[in-house]
Amino acid sequence: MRASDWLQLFVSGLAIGTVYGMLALGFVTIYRASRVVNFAQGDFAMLGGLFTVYLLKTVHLPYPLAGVLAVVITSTIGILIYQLVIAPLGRASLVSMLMVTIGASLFLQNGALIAWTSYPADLPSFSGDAPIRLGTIAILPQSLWIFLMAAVVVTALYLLTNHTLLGKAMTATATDPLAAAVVGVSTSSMMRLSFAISASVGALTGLFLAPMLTLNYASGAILGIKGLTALTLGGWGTATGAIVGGLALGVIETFGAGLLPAGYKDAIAFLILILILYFRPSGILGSAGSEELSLD
Amino acid sequence: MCRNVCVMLVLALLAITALLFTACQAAPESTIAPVAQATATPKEPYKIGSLSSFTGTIGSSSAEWRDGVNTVVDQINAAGGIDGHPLTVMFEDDGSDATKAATALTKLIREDKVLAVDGPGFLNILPAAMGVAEREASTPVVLGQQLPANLRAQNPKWTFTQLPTEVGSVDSIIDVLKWKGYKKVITIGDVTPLHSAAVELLKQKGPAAGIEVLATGDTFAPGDVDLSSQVSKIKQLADREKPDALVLITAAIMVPQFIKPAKQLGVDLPIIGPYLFGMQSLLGLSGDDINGIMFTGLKYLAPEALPDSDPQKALLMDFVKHYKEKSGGKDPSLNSTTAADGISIIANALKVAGPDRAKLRDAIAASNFMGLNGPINFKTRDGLPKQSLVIYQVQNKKFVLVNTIK
Repeated sequence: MRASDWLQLFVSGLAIGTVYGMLALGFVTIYRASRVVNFAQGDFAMLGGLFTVYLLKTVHLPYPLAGVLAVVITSTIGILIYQLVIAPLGRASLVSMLMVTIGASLFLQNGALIAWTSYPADLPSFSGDAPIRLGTIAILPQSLWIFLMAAVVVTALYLLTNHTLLGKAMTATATDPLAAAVVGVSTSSMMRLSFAISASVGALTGLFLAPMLTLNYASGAILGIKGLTALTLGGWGTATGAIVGGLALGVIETFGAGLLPAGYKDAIAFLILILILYFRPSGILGSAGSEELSLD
Repeated sequence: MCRNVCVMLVLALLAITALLFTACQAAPESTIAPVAQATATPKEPYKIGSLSSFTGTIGSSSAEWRDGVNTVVDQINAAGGIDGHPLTVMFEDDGSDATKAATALTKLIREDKVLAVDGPGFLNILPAAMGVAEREASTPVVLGQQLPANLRAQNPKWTFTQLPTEVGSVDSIIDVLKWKGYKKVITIGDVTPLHSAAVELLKQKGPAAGIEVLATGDTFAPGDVDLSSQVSKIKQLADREKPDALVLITAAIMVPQFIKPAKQLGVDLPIIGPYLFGMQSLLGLSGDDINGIMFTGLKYLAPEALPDSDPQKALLMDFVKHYKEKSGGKDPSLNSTTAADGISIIANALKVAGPDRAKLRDAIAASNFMGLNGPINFKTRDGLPKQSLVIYQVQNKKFVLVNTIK
């Protein structure tokens, strides 16, 4: 393989890695506020993409309005999942929480199957399909949109978490819910907000991804696993770990697919997950969060 | 206490909702097809089973199968049934899953005691269905697809197959390549045994027909959503070798996953596909990018374009008319004609052999008539001949018959 081919793979890996990073960011947002690992996170991306397809192609709304509405609807579904599935369980064990989010994920998948059938659907690219040529490297315009979306979301979340009272209240809720409640923070509101933000990030990811790949009702499951793998690779509990893990997973996976038969691409992600869990469970950027995930 | 009650309520609500969803999806299970007017003095109905993927990966095409079955069953019953015995059909769902298929087929045979089974038709579950049919060794099962070559070679006694094998499929594709004057092609197929066998066969047979067949060595699974890595390697190979076309051997549902990255990465080769592309659902996928794709398909897609001398033309025109009445004006798909041919195979054998299952099996094995998809004959395990196929191209999101195969 020529050097330019490797460079092309690297660029492609960064684009898909950014998507994985955004999915991982969704996991982190909920985890930091509620200590819940939400297995329905990938399904938020699926819903964001498929709701946009529906609103654009069936309801015939303008593309931007369809996208915004899809994010709002998915965000509302995120809040409902918290309200109806997570909140009633209170401080249940981690295993119980995992089980209910897996149940929620299956519920969303089957709902999507009934609503939109199993046929794949896609969206038109935001600004055409003609690749931008940098020498021998072709960059898809949609990849640039994904980079831009990721930059905006990460910046917004950074500002929210570190420079607003609301963000500090969310962090306080995650650190010590009782102490946060004592000083007047509505912990349930903070958790509800984290689910809304996480679902919005997931829906945005699906909306920006659907012009590159086709999505169907089952796409959320594999996307969720990729996001979880990225988070485990980068290190649990931090937004930076999520993004770094996503980019690393995307590039490794794409290089692997370049070297090995492409059918092994998903297997590479799972292999990485196993190796990381075995040799460095705290991930690349090593946070203590992983220790708190023991199934007690 | 209150919290526990809330938890129980939510869990119960979720369980009920999930059951409702499942019930909605599984509605076709164990239902009996409406029987049209039987004879004046109806005899005991002949009960046959129909096993198809009403849910799961390919569940969205289930209506096509069901409408195909109901169209031909209603025609038979309207004509007085089989020697006065009306046909009733027990529908079962295989969930697009081998385990569920095995369970459902066993139920049809042991509990429902059907005389024969039409289906299943999903490639991934055929080996499981054949396993059950041969294990039970009591009820003939007419599959809606071809088994892989290794299973056909076992010459199963109770399992019958339909449609072309990889041999007929590849021979017809080679005819298309020769007709178009293509001398060098790239091929890729999915991991389904029948499709990976077709890729290998094309690589073997191509050179003898003066066609160089290249491959990246990659494959993919039905259901994969991201084929950009596979397409990227095809792009590299195409840049080096400058082929004339790409032969894509997979199911229609996988075509959008392929042409999306192909368009983005600049792979602008003409795409040639197998008869499985002949699904009406293909036309609703991928917008205008689907236009231009060529494939060798069965004749049901455009019967009006067939020459009057074609023995299938009148059969298909009549079927399409009745099918549209049954399906609310929709055109039949591959699932429809295959399901209907399966019923016809069983019904014709019932006329000869009656309800004795062993005799029915022998009568099916001796079938020799013209079906909707082509000549039905089980003397060999060769499947439909390549002459059952014609060449279609998608033009303006419609299937257009562009040539026949000699």
